[in-house]
Amino acid sequence: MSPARLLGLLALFALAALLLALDWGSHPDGLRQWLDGDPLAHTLVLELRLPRALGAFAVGGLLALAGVVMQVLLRNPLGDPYVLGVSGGAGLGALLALWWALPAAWTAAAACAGALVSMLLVFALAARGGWGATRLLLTGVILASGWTALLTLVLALAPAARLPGMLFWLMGDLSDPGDTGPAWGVLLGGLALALALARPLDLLLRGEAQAAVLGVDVSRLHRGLFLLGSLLTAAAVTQAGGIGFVGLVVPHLARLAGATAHRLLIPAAVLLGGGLLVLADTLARTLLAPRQLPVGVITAGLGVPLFLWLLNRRPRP
Amino acid sequence: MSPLLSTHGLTLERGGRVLFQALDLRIEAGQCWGLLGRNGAGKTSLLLTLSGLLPAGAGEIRLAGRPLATMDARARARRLGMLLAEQPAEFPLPLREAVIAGRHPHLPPWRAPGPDDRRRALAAIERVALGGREGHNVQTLSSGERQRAALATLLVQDPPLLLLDEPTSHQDPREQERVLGLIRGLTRRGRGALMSLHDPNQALRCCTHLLLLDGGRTRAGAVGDLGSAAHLSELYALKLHPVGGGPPPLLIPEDGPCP
Repeated sequence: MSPARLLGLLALFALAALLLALDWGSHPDGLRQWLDGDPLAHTLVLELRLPRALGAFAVGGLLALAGVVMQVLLRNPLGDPYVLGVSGGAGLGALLALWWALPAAWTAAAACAGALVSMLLVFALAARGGWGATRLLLTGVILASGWTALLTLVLALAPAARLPGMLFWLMGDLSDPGDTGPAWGVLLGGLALALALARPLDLLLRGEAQAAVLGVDVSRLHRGLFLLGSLLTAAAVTQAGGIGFVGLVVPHLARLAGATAHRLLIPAAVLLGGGLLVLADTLARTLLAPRQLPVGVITAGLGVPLFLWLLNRRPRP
Repeated sequence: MSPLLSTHGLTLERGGRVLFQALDLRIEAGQCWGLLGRNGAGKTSLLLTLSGLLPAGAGEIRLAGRPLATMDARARARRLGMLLAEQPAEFPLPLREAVIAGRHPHLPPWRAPGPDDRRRALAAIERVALGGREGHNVQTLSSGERQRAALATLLVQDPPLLLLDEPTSHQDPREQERVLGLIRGLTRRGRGALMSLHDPNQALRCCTHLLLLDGGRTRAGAVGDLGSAAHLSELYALKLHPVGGGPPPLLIPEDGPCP
């Protein structure tokens, strides 16, 4: 498939997912009624479903792009946005804010602060170790398990009345998008930066030494990728909590569709990740309507079998 | 004119062990150097240091007269290229894209490779006998084919100086001849090369100069001076006998069955 055709198809998919999200919901009215000038449908489509779909798209795009960046940084196909512990730090911040019943905006701020603390910790530790991929991965994984232990401690000690909110945050929640401007800003800025780095990323995927002999300043690129991946992840978890599998699976899906060069893989992953999360969120709020499923259940339900299949058909190196 | 590469008092240490001290080396255009030494003598470490990937313990390395330490990665990659010993392939990548990567140091950062770059990549793929496999995923290539794909990348990079870490190690006899012929052909056309080899006969046949790493002692010189059975027997601590009409002689250990 030619690059232009692949991107065109993915853009159509993303657009279709967005239109579906505007049309479907627990209330039967949709786009048709809105176009007919129905005031209730107007509210439903423009004030409820549109911000939610835009939030979901931004988060899906952020996670997919962060996944691409982390997989190159770690030279590991199992890399994902959460593997270096950024989401664990964000989770701890969010849960503490929820414990003290702070306003929603504070929860987001606390999640963002937690993500940044975690990021700075890994950064300081990795900088001492010279940014080797294995050491960075180990540092991140150990820190992430430390965060998980603290999260468990908070869940065990928190008052029972706060638990449902906390669990909902940890599973990922797109129902209250709030202001999606910051998430979109980080997504578009990150997209531009990643595209500018497309060729060095292609080279880095073939190993540090190979990239270095072909003229890439590897240690500078490592630092930049770590910061970029962490900021993208922090923006995603601040917007919507911990939604799994988008960041792991989408980059691989895009590669399977033929997007191996990063100048193609980066926009393809953003379109696919955004579209998939919008679709998953639409399913999450319509499958058992009026009850809403956690969107993480849908993404994992799609992601787990898909990834196991991918892993088993991957050629042995 | 300055040599392609020169070292002054270069000392290498790895893990607290001094590999060698005070190496003075000059590689000129048209020279093909064979780097010989026992396992662990520091062949790979020397190549990685000369290519700027490992820090030098002491001493200075100059590339075309300029200190290597002051050059940025892109400028360095236009003057010097290296064939690494291993070619990892953890992610899928079509052979064509893998080889086109050699154009990276020549293209402005924002520009995608164009038709001319594609043409160079296809020509290099032909030269390493992988023609017709351009669309194949490098993960599905054998280790020998991946090594030749990396050599094609180096041909596309086309630097004045080539460092090669055991370029024949994964190749069958016919492909070893092809790889050595390619490298020798490049040096005949004015490139310089330094390649580590494990077969001293390949070095005697293809190289103009030898660099022997012998347990901390280094010797550098023309193949006629250092390529004798006596020198190489001493290097490997193994008695080698010259046979055949030569020159160059064919060096073999004891004639007869496996010890």
